[in-house]
Amino acid sequence: MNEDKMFTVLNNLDDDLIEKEIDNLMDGVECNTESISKKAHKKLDKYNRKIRFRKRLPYVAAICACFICINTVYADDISEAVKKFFNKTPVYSTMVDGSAYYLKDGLALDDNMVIDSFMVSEGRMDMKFTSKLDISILRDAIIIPGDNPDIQYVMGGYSEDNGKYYFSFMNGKEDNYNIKPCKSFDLLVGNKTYSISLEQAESLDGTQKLFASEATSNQIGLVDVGANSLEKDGKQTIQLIASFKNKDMKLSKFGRPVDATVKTSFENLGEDGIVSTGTGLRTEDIYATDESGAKYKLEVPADANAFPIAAFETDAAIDNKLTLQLPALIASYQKTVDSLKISIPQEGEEIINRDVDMFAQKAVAKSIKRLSPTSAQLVFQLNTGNEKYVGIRSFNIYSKDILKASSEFSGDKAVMILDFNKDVDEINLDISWPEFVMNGNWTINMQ
Amino acid sequence: MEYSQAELVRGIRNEDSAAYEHMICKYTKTVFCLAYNILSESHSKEDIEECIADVFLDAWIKIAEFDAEKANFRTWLLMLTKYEALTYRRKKRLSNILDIEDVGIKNGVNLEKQVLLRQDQEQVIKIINSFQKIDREIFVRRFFLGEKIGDLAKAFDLSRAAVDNRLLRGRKIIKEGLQYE
Repeated sequence: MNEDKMFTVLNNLDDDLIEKEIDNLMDGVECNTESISKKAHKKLDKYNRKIRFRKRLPYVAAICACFICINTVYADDISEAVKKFFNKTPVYSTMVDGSAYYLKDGLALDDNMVIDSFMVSEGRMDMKFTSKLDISILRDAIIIPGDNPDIQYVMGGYSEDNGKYYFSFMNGKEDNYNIKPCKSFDLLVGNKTYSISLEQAESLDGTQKLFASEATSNQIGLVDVGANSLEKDGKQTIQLIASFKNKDMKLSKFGRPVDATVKTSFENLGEDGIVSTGTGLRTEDIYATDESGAKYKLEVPADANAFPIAAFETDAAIDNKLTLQLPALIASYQKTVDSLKISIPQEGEEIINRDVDMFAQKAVAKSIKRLSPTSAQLVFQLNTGNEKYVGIRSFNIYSKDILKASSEFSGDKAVMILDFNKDVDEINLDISWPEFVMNGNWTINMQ
Repeated sequence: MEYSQAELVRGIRNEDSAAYEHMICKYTKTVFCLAYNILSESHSKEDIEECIADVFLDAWIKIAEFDAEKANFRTWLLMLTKYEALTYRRKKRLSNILDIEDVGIKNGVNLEKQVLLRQDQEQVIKIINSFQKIDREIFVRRFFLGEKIGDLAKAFDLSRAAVDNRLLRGRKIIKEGLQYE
């Protein structure tokens, strides 16, 4: 009887006979079937959630199809883990999903305006510029992409520092962040039109030396982490890569947060818009070690142009083989995750106990307490889901009935003070953009 | 509900979560046995459990690829397990850019439709159970779980030839016991 026939015979045995043999073989080895079952169901839940998401957004499927085509070329000799990074495109000091266009060098438009940097990718358009013009003129700037004159991108938010502006654009017609990469555009500002061409940024691919992180006991299935080593002035620059399984999950910052407590607030100023504030994203330093044990800090480049920073400079020579320790990263899920209708008691406290799925973690809206005729305290219990290495850092709340809100997130609890007009006894609260600390404890061996 | 193989496969194809539950209940031990043999030296219990959970999800996603004419469901599941476990092992070992070495798994076994009578099956098991402990384990891991001879040699600290000989001897005994061919 040859080997193939033996396989044939034994593979056709009835299950019950084989099960006995397996039991004999595994005598003394503990198999936790309950734990395996839980994990398998959790994975199925996640998978189903992803599928439902794709069905709602057909254009996402189109993006995925392109990705698969690119991957096929490398399918034979590059790992699945590294292939996940191919859809990432480094631009300036950051990295975006999919294709991107950018301005290679600063561009002086006239005596009044210099564009220092400009980048556009799927869902994102950022411009940094220097101008003497008044903000009342600048904030009405419009961008019309060269390949689609029907679209108008308008200012979605800005910051200003001594004549240097940082603008973030949004889709003016749709009032959202549906932004498509384009290689040229017209900028309309102060009754003038400037035509601008951009360079296409090169996505990561198999020609680069990409390194995936090692398996870690802190397993987080939502993200893959890796690095790319580059040379700059004889030293190593490290591009960190975070590739999220879900396209609406975006990197906020690499590193473990310094602040254990996060405070946020917003105030609805009516026609003047909404003002919001929040604790900054301070993170601990990240280090790499070479073969001799020398430690190198990852430094943010002085000329960093776009955020979040993904490219870091080090003092390590280019031929040093580095091992990088990344304890954590911060990421946000850029969607509205739930809407709660909450009745505010006339006096005292009311228990809510309503689950809120924040995609990467769960929370429970626990209770609401009337503090005064125009204010209430809302309490959330955080991190009630199964992802034990993912913690909720913060999330946004909004209701047209709320004039002002201040939130404090600390450990497994969030406390919010809501201010509203006198006669409000019920609010519809939108919960959006939860931000998470992902404690992956990744090691990236760049050798 | 008790499922036949055909009902189980149909249930998974129809995305029936009860079928998923049934697959997990029925095959966890078998899948665990193979994943454990491949990963126990290098991976934690948690990792092995994750790997097994990935196998069940893989089966759910890839059920359209299952062909009952080529293999029974258990064998197919073991094939998926082997790929998944090797992927886990490779990730841990290489950590970075990777050659896809050793996924040289033979594409299962070319299963002819050759089903033994129940009586013969029990006879085969009886013969296997008469082997010495180490031979029995090598035999089961090779022919039930499809492990590679090189891996078995390493696991039992034997030469490849020694494993081959033990397998050959076992096959002969079974053949004689069944008067097969």
